[in-house]
Amino acid sequence: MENEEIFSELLNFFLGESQERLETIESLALSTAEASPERKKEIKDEIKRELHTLKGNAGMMGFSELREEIHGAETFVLGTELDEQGLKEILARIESIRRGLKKHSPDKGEEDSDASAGQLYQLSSVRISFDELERILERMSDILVLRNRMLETLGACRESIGDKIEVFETPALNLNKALTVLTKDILRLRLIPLDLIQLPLKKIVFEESAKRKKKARLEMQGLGESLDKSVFDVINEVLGHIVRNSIAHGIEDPAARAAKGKDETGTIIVSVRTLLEEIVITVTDDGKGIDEAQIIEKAKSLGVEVNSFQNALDIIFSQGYSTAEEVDISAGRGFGLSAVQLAVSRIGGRVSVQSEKDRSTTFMIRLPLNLTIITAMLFKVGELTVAFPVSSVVHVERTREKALHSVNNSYVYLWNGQSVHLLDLRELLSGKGDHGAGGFVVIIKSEEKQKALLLDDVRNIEDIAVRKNDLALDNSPYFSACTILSDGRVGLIVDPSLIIEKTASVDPQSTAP
Amino acid sequence: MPLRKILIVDDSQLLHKMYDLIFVKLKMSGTGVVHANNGQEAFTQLHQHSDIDIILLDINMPVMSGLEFLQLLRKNAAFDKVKVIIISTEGKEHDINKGLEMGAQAYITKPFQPSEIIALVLKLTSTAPPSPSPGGIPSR
Repeated sequence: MENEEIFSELLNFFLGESQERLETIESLALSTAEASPERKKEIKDEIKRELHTLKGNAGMMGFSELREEIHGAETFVLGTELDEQGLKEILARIESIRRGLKKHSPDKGEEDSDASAGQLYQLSSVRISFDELERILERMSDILVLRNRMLETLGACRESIGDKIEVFETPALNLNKALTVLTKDILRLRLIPLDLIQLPLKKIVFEESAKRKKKARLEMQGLGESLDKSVFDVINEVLGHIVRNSIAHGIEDPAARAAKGKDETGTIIVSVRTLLEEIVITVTDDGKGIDEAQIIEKAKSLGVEVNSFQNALDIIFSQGYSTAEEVDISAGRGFGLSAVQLAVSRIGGRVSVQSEKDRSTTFMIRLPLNLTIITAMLFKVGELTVAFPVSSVVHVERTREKALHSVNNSYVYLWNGQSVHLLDLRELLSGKGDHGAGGFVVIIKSEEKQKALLLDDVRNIEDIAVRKNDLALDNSPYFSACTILSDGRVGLIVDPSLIIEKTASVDPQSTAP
Repeated sequence: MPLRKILIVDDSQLLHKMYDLIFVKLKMSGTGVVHANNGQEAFTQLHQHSDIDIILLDINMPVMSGLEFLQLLRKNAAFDKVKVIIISTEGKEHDINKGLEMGAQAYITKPFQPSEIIALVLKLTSTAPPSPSPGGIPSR
């Protein structure tokens, strides 16, 4: 290999590895805030080691300016106390080293165009662009439609071809299996781990708290999820801003908090929950809440049409109100809560806010998922296959006749010391059910509520890919979508929350005193 | 002297990757390349592979430095025939001199061009008589 070839192969490796190393150092640095003096010393040593390796690598690549800069950072870390000032300096130097790295990046042109105001996480370049991926998914959709037609035709031919149908069935099913796997693989490519947001958000909390002379800590829940890129992008754009807002306007300064009997350090909790059809992100701070009267006052003085708002708190999302207020938060970038609302509604989501005076403020963003991969447990109801997200299945057992009881016009199933409302899915789906005689009972749950469902048989557990827009079931109140399963059959996907909600009126438990 | 296997001792993943790329041609003609992240691993590799002819030794490593490793290496007569090239950084003449005294055959300073290290490795392990070369092999 020639010298230049070796260099450019190494370059990508170097850039990727260095980026990771920088993030490790940042994480380490940010963790000193709540560390004991012994731990601080350990962290200092770890940071020094990372910087030292980074320096050596930069030197090896021939980047002497960068090497010098890293050497400067190393020297600084040696002498610092790792207090707030020191921490700030370290983060600033890391950022500077990062910029230095970018200068050596081969696709620096693309990186610059990606860096818009508000981006929390810089996505490194991908070999296949998401646009191309989207086009592939569309082609996949077309193929799936053709597959469905083929399966239908096959079914229709059954009568006329008779036994010979077997010749077609196996290849058809194999093709179907292969297509399903391929679709899932492609969908998975679009998933971005939500965890990536954590570090940038922590940095924002640190910066904004220092700027506002307040104390705040960040807690994140539900980070185990990976999100489709379209959803991730929106979250990427808006979370940072809401968190800044919480520190600027929600969390009080330490003295005021102490006077109220609160912990001097405010807590901001960012929580992500994936429901079947949407994802819910909440940002809750334990600050002073939103004073409705104050909002209305200020809105009037800014000339905002106050009466057009049903919920006064929604005023903070309006164009006129938010840009005025948020200029100082984003240092003139004018990226207000109105932009948050715009970004969210662009993908069909909604943002709302609730607040308890002096106690808390919660921003809630609901984003619709138009594609998901869910792990589902499959059951048979007559000829049909029904799928439940595994997370909603609490228990499965053969029907115990003795546990079935009739109450008023409904049925309950005695399980685990509780009387759970029982629905006969066979009746629900095909009109033929008798609330008894064999089969299995599945206990499902949504939020804190449970329901018992009677069905015929248990099948298996499968990962199924659900794309909402081509699988809508308008006239069914309980099922959110249907999909083609690996054996070529149609599966109905149950939304546990829907089924529980919609049958609540006949639930003997809920009407009991 | 044959070139059956090269042992790289360095604590940087980047360097290991680099050497793999640099020695691609040598690997294609049958030379093996084994890796160690520190002195201890290096000894493990030396015991597992009896055909290591040359070691590229990074001076600057934590826990056991390159020089400490070299000292231990030369104490063991079994490894007398294994050549050692010290990989050092600019400005560390002291290390280089010490290394040569302790039994290294040559040195090279970072950053270096791939062709330089290849030339050095080949020179040390070829059967041709050593010829004067720019700062690589001290003439005794």
